[in-house]
This record gives sequence, structure tokens and C-alpha cells, in this order.
Amino acid sequence: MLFVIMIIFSAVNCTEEFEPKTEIFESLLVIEGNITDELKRHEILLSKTFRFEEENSSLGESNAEVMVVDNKGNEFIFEETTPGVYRSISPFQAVSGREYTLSIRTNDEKSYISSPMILPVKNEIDNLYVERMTNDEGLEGVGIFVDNFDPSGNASFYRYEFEETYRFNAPSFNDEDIVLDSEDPFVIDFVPRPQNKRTCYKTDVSQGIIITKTEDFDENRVSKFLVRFIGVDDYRNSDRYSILVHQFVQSREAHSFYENVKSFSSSVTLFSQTQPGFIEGNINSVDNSDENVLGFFQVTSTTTKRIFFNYRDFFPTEPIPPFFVGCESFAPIIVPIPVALINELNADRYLFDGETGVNNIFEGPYLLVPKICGDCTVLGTNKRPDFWED
Amino acid sequence: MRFLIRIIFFFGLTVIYAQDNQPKVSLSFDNVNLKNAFSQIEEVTNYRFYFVDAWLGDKIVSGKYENTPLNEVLEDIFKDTILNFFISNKKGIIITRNSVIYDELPKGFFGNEKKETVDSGEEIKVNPVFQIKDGISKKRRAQTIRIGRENKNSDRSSFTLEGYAINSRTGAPVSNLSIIVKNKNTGTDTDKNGYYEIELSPGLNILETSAMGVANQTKRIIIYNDGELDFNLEESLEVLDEVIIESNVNENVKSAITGAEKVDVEESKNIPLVLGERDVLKVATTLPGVTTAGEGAVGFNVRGGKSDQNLILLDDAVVYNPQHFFGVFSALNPFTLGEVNIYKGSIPAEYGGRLSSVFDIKTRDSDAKEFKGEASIGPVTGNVVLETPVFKDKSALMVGGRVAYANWILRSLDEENLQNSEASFYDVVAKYNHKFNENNKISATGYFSRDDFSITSDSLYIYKNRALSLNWEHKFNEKNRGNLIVVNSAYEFDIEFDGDTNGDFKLGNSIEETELKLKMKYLYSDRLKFDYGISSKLYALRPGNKKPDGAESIVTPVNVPKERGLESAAFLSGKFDVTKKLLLDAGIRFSVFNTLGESSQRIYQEGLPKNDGTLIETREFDKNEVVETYGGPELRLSARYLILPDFSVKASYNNTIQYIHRLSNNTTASPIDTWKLSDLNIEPQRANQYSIGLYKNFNQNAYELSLEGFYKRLDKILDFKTGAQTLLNQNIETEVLQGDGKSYGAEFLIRKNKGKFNGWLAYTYSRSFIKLDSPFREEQVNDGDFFPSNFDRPHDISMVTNYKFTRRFSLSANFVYQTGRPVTFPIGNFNFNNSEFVVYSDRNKFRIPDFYRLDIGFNVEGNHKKGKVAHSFWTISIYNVLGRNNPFSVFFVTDEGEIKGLQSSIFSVPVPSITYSFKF
Repeated sequence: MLFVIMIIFSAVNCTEEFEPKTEIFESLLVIEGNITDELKRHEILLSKTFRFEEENSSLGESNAEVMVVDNKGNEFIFEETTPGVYRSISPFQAVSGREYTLSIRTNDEKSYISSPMILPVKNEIDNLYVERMTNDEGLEGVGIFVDNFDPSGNASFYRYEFEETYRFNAPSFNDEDIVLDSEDPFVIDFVPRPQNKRTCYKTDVSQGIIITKTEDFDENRVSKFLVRFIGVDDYRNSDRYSILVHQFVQSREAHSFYENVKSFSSSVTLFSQTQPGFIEGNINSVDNSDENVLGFFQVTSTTTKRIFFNYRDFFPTEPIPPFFVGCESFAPIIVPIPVALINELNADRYLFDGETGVNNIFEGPYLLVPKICGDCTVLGTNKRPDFWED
Repeated sequence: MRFLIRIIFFFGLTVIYAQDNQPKVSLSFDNVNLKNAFSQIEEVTNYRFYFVDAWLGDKIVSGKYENTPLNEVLEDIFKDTILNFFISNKKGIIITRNSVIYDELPKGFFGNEKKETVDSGEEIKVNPVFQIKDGISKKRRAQTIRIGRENKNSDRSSFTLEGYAINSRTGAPVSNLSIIVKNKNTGTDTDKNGYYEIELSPGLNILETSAMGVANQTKRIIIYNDGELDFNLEESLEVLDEVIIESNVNENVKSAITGAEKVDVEESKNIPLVLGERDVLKVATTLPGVTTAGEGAVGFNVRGGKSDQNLILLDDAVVYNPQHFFGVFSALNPFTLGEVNIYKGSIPAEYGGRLSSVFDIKTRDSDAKEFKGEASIGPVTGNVVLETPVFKDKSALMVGGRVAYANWILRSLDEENLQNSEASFYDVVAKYNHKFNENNKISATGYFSRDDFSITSDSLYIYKNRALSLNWEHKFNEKNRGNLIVVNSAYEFDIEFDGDTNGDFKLGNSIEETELKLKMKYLYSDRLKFDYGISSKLYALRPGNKKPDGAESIVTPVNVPKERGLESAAFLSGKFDVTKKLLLDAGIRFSVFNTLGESSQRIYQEGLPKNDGTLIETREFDKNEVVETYGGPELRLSARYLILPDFSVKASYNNTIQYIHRLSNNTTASPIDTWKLSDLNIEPQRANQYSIGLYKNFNQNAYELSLEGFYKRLDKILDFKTGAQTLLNQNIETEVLQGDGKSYGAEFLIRKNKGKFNGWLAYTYSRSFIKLDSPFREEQVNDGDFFPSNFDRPHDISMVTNYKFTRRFSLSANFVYQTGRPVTFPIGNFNFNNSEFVVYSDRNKFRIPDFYRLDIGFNVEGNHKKGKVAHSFWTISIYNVLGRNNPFSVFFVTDEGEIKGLQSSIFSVPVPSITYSFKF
């Protein structure tokens, strides 16, 4: 009897992973286009969808003719700078009151055209600020928030991108480097390590989709919208941090497109299932109305704001977060033969991290750490950005 | 229309002298009493004894028999007793005291005696005397009676004899007793007072009497003058082989309505089912036109309709979720059910509010004269039903309870991840029926079910059904009858999430409805009958709320405001036999729905997509203020034309309106789905269905054959925008799309009802489509073209068979094949904003693999030995013999940037089970 029951419950409701069949793969054109009211060379990105089993092998769609046209007859031609990236030949800016249309002709002679889009009303970021917080997973950290108010009374939709720049120290910086003068005979030397390898700057751009909308009809306000959360275990916020937030005011159609793209990528639980389906953007095939094209061409008004803060402003006594990678040091043996140390030094993967004080067949005299831990230029740049304020 | 439910009763005597094929037995009795002797005979033969204990006395028998015919053995053991026996051809041995059982009816039993005696010149045979005084079968000698004083001067050619016939035991007059003068072609009947008068020729007359229920008598009368003679008649006990009266023979052919199915609750026990649970709803899905979204899916899809379009009634009260454990088990206790009628084509006018079908499930009336019960034990559940009289011959109470004890078994297993699992459910049903007099009857039913289960260790899911009903049946006169019905139903779903962090919450939704219904029947004539009535139903919905659980919880409470509505209807329908061949069944129902306050309704710009951008204002409504009114006439028309007595053609037209919608964006209904009433922004759904069918029975109704086709158009069918999230959504109208649906199909059914081998084969070809079109792209799905609905399964084959080896052993098997259900697959990845995302195909562009499953069951019915406490029944079954891994759903998750495809199946291996049930 018990046996029967065990079979039953191992059989009931089993969920197993399966490999989605690749024969159902469809290669679709993906279009990402955002024209803003900034005067600059705007970019349109063209790529193709790829198979599940392919590791991010998104190939740019090359040799296409890309053009943005406004309803006053102005044409803005784009040229391919790198595969799949098309940049306008001359700088231009979106102007309110005009309709802009994207048209594309791909290498295989297929034409695509977007719905005409207009520039939404511009809206500044009211307030960009940082607060210490705990996120939904219970993790301590800091949150970077946006407050916003649209006096026009229209419902507004916002999308955010950011560039974060942080100053950081190589955690295992040592004043000296070990240099291999000669392998045979085995001769090493110590030289001073340049001080500019201690502190660096690194800039990352935002990933994913950050969108919000005004809360409700009565109050056209975005308040305390979390743009970025940095956990207390994130080395980005270990010394001084700066974030440049771009706010794009976008159309409602664009908002729902981004919302859908985003919702299909969040993890699915039983009580938050989302109706799946192909996400219609605003770009259609001219020749074949049954062909699905993925993507959105939008015209947005944009504003930016930057802030700076220090780790110690929010965590005065807490330990410095751990570095991005483990910085375990080790001491290759040099007796009876120094071949391990020689190999490591030749491979240029490790840097000197002090002496052990012992030298036997179990432990060598010189400590080595991964290069990334002792030289900040591996990860970032030691050139201070122009906008940087100390 | 199916005569699956037969009324069987014992009626008359139609056996031949059945002693011809006597089995020969070898056995010996060693000073045993008769009862034990019977048992011994039962053991070596498949014959069964029927007797009254008290008659047996303390007679002891001994003897040894080798290959002796059964009747000789019996004659031997009854030698010195007053007992007689009769061996029926149904392998029954009936023990009588004194009487001998004749195995043919008295002559003329069914005929008109008087007519026969007057018209026929044939000799009328002497009927056997059915009452024997001294216990030994012999014919009684007729008495000779002299009547009147002889008057030699009389020249009369006839004299009058008169008198009464009375029952010697009760003294009651015996009416309709035929009195025949032997060899004289005359005769008479007694009137209702038992009085008769007959002219006899002078001299010897032999009078013979016969009537139902009394012993025949023969009297030799020598009549000299007018006189009187009373007959004292003794009751005769006559035997009884079964005469099966089939009601609703040809019902499938003769009724006017199309698309009606009946599920035989009793026969459903022979059908192998998962974990040995008898389940009438599962049986229903083997009938053409009724499918489920998948194994373990909640709800039914009838003729291409959504799963919220079925009105499931238990004694007139709606049961919102009649299934346990995600649809694996039916939540209705099979032991308590009387009949299940499913209307998927012509829906009677008294029902409304759902587009696709009505499942009219009735508990049976308990007729308990004494305490009795039925119980079953299976690997997962136990079930007990008890019945008891309350006021003798007037009222009875039936209480049934079923509980799954899987929970403690799960806990007691070593398997760690099962220890945290929980899966338990129970349901209870109680029914009281009381007959005040011939004209007044009430019945009250209470039903409650609850499921608790957890899929992950930190969340507990609970859902509950409640259904209460009170029905007063009143007969005004022979032509007018009425029912007053009050019902109340509720359904509630809750999730309790208790994780490790401070995100604990409770989430729930519920729906409650109360209905008052008056239903009248008026029999205008044999050819014209009316049903009419009114009903009104009040809904109260709590669409959802989420609140923090525990003091540390930081969950923000969400509350979607309550909704209320009133659905009322008046209906009139008539059945009219226009000619012997043409029957019309026409009904009209007028229904009205009022959305009631208190409520706040968002008003959007007309003709534009409903979203934040087109919102004009939010309007507040007070309590009981009418927010919006919808309604309309619903026609229910059907006609039947009999081409031959067992061959008919039928056609029907139906339209229906549905004011309540289930919001389920999952491809399958799940218990979490909330309900939504029609309001300013969500209109009622409507359907029009046309069907036509041919029905033919063969071989005295042993085979039924039907072929039905249907075409259905649906309007304002609810579906969702891509990316819609329905849970706790306070502005659900911005996620909902209302589109057109169409479905069509042909349903073929052949059924064999009689014989050792019976069962049915159903094949359905049907399609179901939906179109979500709009001038606005965001409201289009698949470019606004028709696309297959979530439950479009073109081919559906079900076969249910049962083979009876003997009365006790039977083997059953069922096989199901269905085309895989449409599904929306991810078709690739893409990069956007420096991240990787998934792209899905057009809605329902692909299909999950086809579904098929074979189940086998072996049933053993216990023998009916006297003295056995209970009548038992064993079912051994294997569900999914082929071990087919039928995917139930396919879904995709993004886990740390990687897309994983997951498929879940409910029973992917053969599942054996054994169930023992017994009646006492």
C-alpha cells in the first residue's frame, strides 16, 4: 500500500525541464530605435532573434538602409558604424509638433516602416536622491530614487537609463611588483608599482528595462521611484559613486511595449502568470503583413541629472563590501624548483601581494593575488572623468 | 435522452419451467441446518437462495450427493418440510412456504377476460390453483354447490346468480374478478364493490374465477333457481421473475432537445479512474463535446466554450469549483448522487446565465426504511454515506463525507521534499427530504468542500465551496405543480504565503450568490405541457485582497473593491406534440442583469482603447444604486421529427447570455482565478448555437447511434491583452479584450447498453476560434484574425467499455485521445537595452503533444450470501497503463538570465490503485 502511495506522489504533478524544440525557432528582425530631443547623432540598432541554446550570439543586421523621415519632408539618413549599429550621418534633434517615421530596407530587400511618432512633452527630473534601504529580498543597501511632477496634467510614462561611474580601490594593491629577471638561473627583482594603479573609475550602463508611470489620474506624480538599488555587498558602492540618470518621457504605446517585454522575462510563479504572446511593436513589414517584427521606434524627450555620494555617507561603520571577485592570495613554492612561480609570472595573471616569511616545499616566500585585485586598471580606468567631483 | 438510468422493478411471472439445465452437484451435509445447507450449495454452484429465515425452522439435514441434479438435492432436503422451492432461470432458488411457484402467468393475465369469453369459441383451460393448504402441491378439488330450490314447474331457460367477491383475509371486495362459465362462452366481471350478476343455464355450471392477486377458484354449481353465491377469495402469492420496465426507452430518439447527455451514476463505478475514485464528472468528459483543458485541469470546455461558461448545479445550487486537487478528483460524492444531466445543445429555458452548458446534478432522495450505509476505502480517500429514516415513511436523512488522508502519509514518508507537501481535502453533503403528504414535499441539501494543498513549502492554498439548497415541491392539482427553490452558494480561494523573509501575506478572493426561483409545471393536455417561472439571483464578489501576514510583514495591502449584481429572469417553455411524429420544444427566457453599487467605475473615452490615457473620470455609485443594466431575450427552440419509431432528426437553436466572467489568463482554469461581474466597462458574453442531429436505435435499443453537428457564434468573449496580469488588478478592464468566438463540430456516439459487453465510443471533431480585433494595435491579437482558442482540440476520441464475465467479475477499459491543446511558445531570444529577452510566437500558434491514455480496471462484486454483513465491491485499476507522459502545461521561466522550458504533467507513469467499497 505504501508503495502505491509513493508511486502516486512521485507521479503527481511533476514538473520537469525540457529543451524547447529548435524547429519552432523563428528568426525575426529586432529594431531598437530612440530619437530624442537632444542634438546628436542618434542610433538605431538592428539585430535578429537567436535560438535559446545560442549564448547571446545576437548578430547585428548589417547592410540595411535606415532612414528617419519627418512630416515636413526632412530625411535623416543613417549609416552603419559597427555591425547592426546605425548612426545618423549628421546630428539632429526631434522637434515637437512633427511626426517621425522610421523606414528600413534590409539586405534581403525587405522593407519595414514604423507608425509615425511624435515628441512627448518634456519633463524634468524634480529630484534625484539616495537613501539607505532594504529591498524586497531583505537585502540592505542604498536606493537611488526619482521624484517627478508633471504640471501639464497628462498621464505620463517614463523610461530610465543610467550610467553609473564609481571610484574604487584595488583591494590588494601593493607598492611593489615582482619581476622575473631570469628563469635560469632563477633571478627575481622588486620594482615599485605605479601609484595610479591603486584608484580607478569605472562606468557601467544600465541593463534591462526601467519604466514607470504617473500614479493615477488625480496626481500626475512619480514619487520615490527606485531607479537603481545597490546592495551592501556590491563593491560598486565601496568608495565614491556617481549616477547619471536619463529620463525619457515616452508614449503610452511605448510604455506598454516595454512593460510586456519586461514582464515575460521576470520569473513566473503560479500566482503571477502573464498572458504570453507576440509583443506587437509599432513597426510593420511593408510587403508581408503576416511577418512579425519585434521592436519599437520611439521619439522621446529626455533630461538627465547626476548625483554623487560616498559609501561612508550611508554606512559609516560597516565593513567595506567584498570585491567583485575573490582575492585569495597564494604562495607558489620555489624549492626545489621555482617552476610554478615562473609559470605564474609569465602568464601575467597574478601580482605580488607581500611575503610569507617562509620558504619550504609546502609554501613559497612570495604571495600572489589575481591581477584584478592588485591593479585597478584591469577593471577600470585611472583617468579621472571630466564630470567627476570629489 | 439516454436511458442509462433504468427503473427496474419486479412485476410478474415470465419464466419457463427452468429446471431443464440443472447443474449436477456433489456435496455432503452433515447434520447441518437448512441455512448452512444453502450456503454449501451456493458455494459449489453459482445459484443463490432467496428465503425468509423464520420459515426454515430447526430442520437438520444430512446426506451425501454425488453428481446429483440440483433439484433432486433440494427435493431431498425439503422432503419433510412445508417448504417448496423454485429454481429460476436467473440462477436463483426461491424458497416458499406452502405455495408452489408456477412459472407462467395465469392465462389471460394481461387480456380482457370478458371479451375473450364472449367472442372466443375455444375451450378455456383450467387454471392451476395457486393456494395450497397442506403444503404439498396438488390441485384442489372443486366444491359442488347447489343453488336455489328446484321448481319443477319452471320453464325458465336461465337463472340469475348474484353475489359478492371478497378477499377472505381483509374482507375487502375484489373488483374486476372475472367469472367464467366453463364451456359455455359466457362470463362476467365483478364491479368495484365486488358485486356480480350472471345468467346461468339450469343444471351444472362450472364457474372459474381469476383476478390479479387472488387465487383462482373453480366451483361446480348446480343451479335450480335464482340465487346468491359469494366468493371468498384468498390472496395468491405469485412469483416473480424480474420484468424490466425501461423508462425513457428511445428517449434519445424521442425527445426534442439536442445535445443532452445523461451520466449513469451507478454504472460509473465500473469505469476505471485515477486512484480508484468514482467520478461522474470524469465520465462526462468521455462524452462527445465535453473536454477538459488537460489532465488535472479544473473546469470543462463544452463545445468550444470557455470553462467559465458551464453552469454546474448541485440540487439547483451552483458549485463554482466541483473538483478537488487541481481537478484530479471530483468534489461531488458519487455515493450521494442520483442523476446527472448535461445540456450542451438545447438548454432548458429555466436555466441561464452561462453560455455553453448546464450540468444538472441531483443528489438522490433517500428512501431509507432503516439505517443503511455505503463506504469505500481507496489509497487516497475514504468515503462514507449513511442514510436513516427520521419520520417513518415520511422523511429520511442522508449524510456523506469524504476525506483524503494523503496528508499524514506524505508526512510519514522519509522523502524530505514530500514532508513539507500538503494535499488534503474533504467534502460533506447532507440531504434531508420530507414528504408531508401527497402534495407537499421538501428537500434540503447542504454541501461543503475544502482543499488545502501546497506546491512549495512556503505557500498554502485553500479553496472552499459551499452550496445550500431548499426545495419545496407542491402539487396544486393533477395539472399544476410547482417548486419554490432557495439556494445559496459560495466559493473562496486563499493563499497563505509564509516564507523566510518579511514578505508574508494572505491573498484571497471569494464569490457568493443567493437565488430564489419559482418553477411551475402546467400539463395542459397530453400533447401540450408548459414550464414557466421566475428567478432572481444576487451576487456578491470580493475580487481579491492581499494583506500582510504577521507583524514583521512589509507587504502593502491591496484590496480590489467588492462587486454586487442582480440577475433576474422569467421563463416560459412548452412541449407540443404537433403530430405523432413532430414534437416542438420551445422556450423563451428573458434575463436582466443589474450591476449594483456601491462601486466606483472608471469612464473612458468612447471608441478608444481603455487605458490611463483615455480615462475621463471615476464615477462613484452608492449602495444598491444601479450602475448598468444589461439583458435580453434568450430563445431555446428545438424540434424533433420521427422518421421511424426509432429514428429521428432534430434541430435546435439556442441563444444564451452570460453576465459573470472568470478572469483566467492561464491557459487552463485554476482555482485562483477570480470572477468578475459585468459592469460599465465589461459587457456580458452572448452566444448563438445551431445544432442538428440524427438519432437511431438498433436491436430493441441495445445500440444507440447519434450524430450531431453544431455551429456556435459567440460575442464579447473575454480574453486578455498580451502581457496582461489579472491577479489583484484593480483596473481589469484595461487588460481585457472582448472579441468574437466561433466554434463548430460534429459529434458521433455509438453506445451499447445491453449485454455482457457494453460501453460507448465517442468521436468529436470540433474547432474553436476567437478573434480579438480592433482599430488599435494594442487591442489586436494575431493581427485581428481568428485564431484557435486555448481549448481547440480538433480530434477527440473516447472509448469506454465494460465486459462482464459473470455477475461478479467485470473488466473495464477506457481510452482517450485528444489533439494537443494550442499553446504560445517562446520562439527565440533577443537583445534589447543591453539585456536578453524572450520573444513569444503569435498567440496559440503551436500545440502541446497529443494526449492519449488507456486505463484498465477490474471489478469484483462480492457475493450476496445471506448473513454477510455488507455487500462489497472491489476495484483494481491501473490509470495510464501506457505510462504516457502527457504534458498538462508548458511554460517558460527566466532564471538568472537563462530561459528554461518547463512542462508539467500530472500522471506520467501507470498509477495502480485498489479500492474497496461496501454497502450495509
